Amino acid sequence: MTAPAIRVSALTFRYPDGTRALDDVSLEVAPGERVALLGANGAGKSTLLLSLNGLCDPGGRVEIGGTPVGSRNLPEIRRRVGLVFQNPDDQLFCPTLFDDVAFGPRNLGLGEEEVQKRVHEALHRVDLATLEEKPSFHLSYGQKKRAALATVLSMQPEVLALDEPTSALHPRARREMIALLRTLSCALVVATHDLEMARELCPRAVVMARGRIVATGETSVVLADTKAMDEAELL
Amino acid sequence: MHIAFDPRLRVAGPLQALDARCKVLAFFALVACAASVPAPSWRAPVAFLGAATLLLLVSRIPLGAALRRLLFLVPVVLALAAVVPFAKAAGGEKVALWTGGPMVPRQGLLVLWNVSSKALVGLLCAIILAGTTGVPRLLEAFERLCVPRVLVLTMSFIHRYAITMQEELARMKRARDARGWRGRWIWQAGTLGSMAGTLFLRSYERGERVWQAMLARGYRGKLIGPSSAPLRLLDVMFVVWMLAAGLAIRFLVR
Ligand SMILES: Nc1ncnc2c1ncn2[C@@H]1O[C@H](COP(=O)(O)OP(=O)(O)OP(=O)(O)O)[C@@H](O)[C@H]1O
Ligand SMILES: [Mg+2]
Repeated sequence: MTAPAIRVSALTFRYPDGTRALDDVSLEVAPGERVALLGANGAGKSTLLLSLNGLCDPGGRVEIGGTPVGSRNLPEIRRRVGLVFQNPDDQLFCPTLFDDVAFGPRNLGLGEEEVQKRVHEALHRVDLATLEEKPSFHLSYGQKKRAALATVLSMQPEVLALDEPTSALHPRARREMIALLRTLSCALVVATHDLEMARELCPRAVVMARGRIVATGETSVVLADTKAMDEAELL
Repeated sequence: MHIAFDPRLRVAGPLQALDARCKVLAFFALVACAASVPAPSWRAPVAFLGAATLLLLVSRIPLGAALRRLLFLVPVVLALAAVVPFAKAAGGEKVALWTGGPMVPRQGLLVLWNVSSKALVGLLCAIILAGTTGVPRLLEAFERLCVPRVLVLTMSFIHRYAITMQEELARMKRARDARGWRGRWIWQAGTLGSMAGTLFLRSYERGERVWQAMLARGYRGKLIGPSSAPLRLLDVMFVVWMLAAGLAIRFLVR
């Protein structure tokens, strides 16, 4: 049996100011599986995604494809887990869109030809191929959202952790984003308030409230579970 | 926005196409020659200024942007000029500033000219170098030229935070103005004060998150640019020309 793409056990995390953002969270995601992460504002979704990439140091254990996340194998973890931030302005910082999308592949040590190939491919997939010379800070918000996704697609990760990928997209772009995500073969964890997308994209859903997982299961079943949904303030 | 940060200000041109490392070396050579001109000389600085101006024209950097950068020097030169009349020249010959004008020591004027022209040449070269290369490529060039790692990293952080702060400021201004702020009244100074504080905090926190996003994509303390093309003869020739021009002016112009 192959190791799960993600295995999180008994994860607990407090921010320095004392806020308990994760409280005994355990979760497993199979390779190629797509899981929706639902929950009210402040439920701890973004924090959980950060921990997958070793960006916060929680109590408990996180394993990616069988490799425990720890200070020693961070480069390896970051090659395997692509994380797209909720706010695209946090993700984009290079002088041009091209450089931003090339940042990850270059850190992987790929040759310039391969970097170019991946950048073009990634920008093409998010439909921004014509803007590659534009400074990322001059893109529209929705374009930035898609650009942010391209910056990790170009790294071809095994696990993709997305924080609200469809927020601020116009209807067509939202549809295309969902269609694009469906074509990916990597494991996908999508934190979102877009319940429609969760239903369409993710066979499984996990509901968080106040740092804990309060429900998990087949998406349609979870969404129909009024009691859990109410507890998570999603109704 | 600073010319080196803003790709829109970067136009194609002959200098833009040169290898960044060679440009760094070439401009360094020119500035070093200019800086070593001994004080009594006044023709050599003119020649160096001419060379720098020529490079500026060739670079196709928008002149307005370059001139605005040069304004930095005005206060410095004025401060220097203010002390010139008091310069104690050994056996000082005095000259009139204009016919019938005040008498000042000739030696003092020469020193003023020497210092400010050197500063001008240095600044012009910095503007041309940054404007035709861009900060990321420049940092990479420094790194490859074995400038100490700490320095290169420090510069890259200044670059990153400068952009971040500018963006945050623009956002806050927009948010402020959208809510009908009019900065006319003195009692609204408090708004400005608290904005400054918030700007710092917001930039800091954003900087942290940007840093996280960089780590998430495998950043390990080294900005990796496109692996640069191999040096061409033209790149090397540029260094040689600049060095030759610098030495020629330095030693032949009297
Ligand atoms: N840097 C921080 N310092 C202190 N507390 C924080 C910080 N970031 C988040 N928190 C707190 O941690 C908790 C979980 O935050 P998190 O960002 O994970 O929520 P979320 O589920 O992503 O919410 P949203 O749907 O609004 O994005 C919240 O109570 C939040 O206030
Ligand atoms: Mg969030």
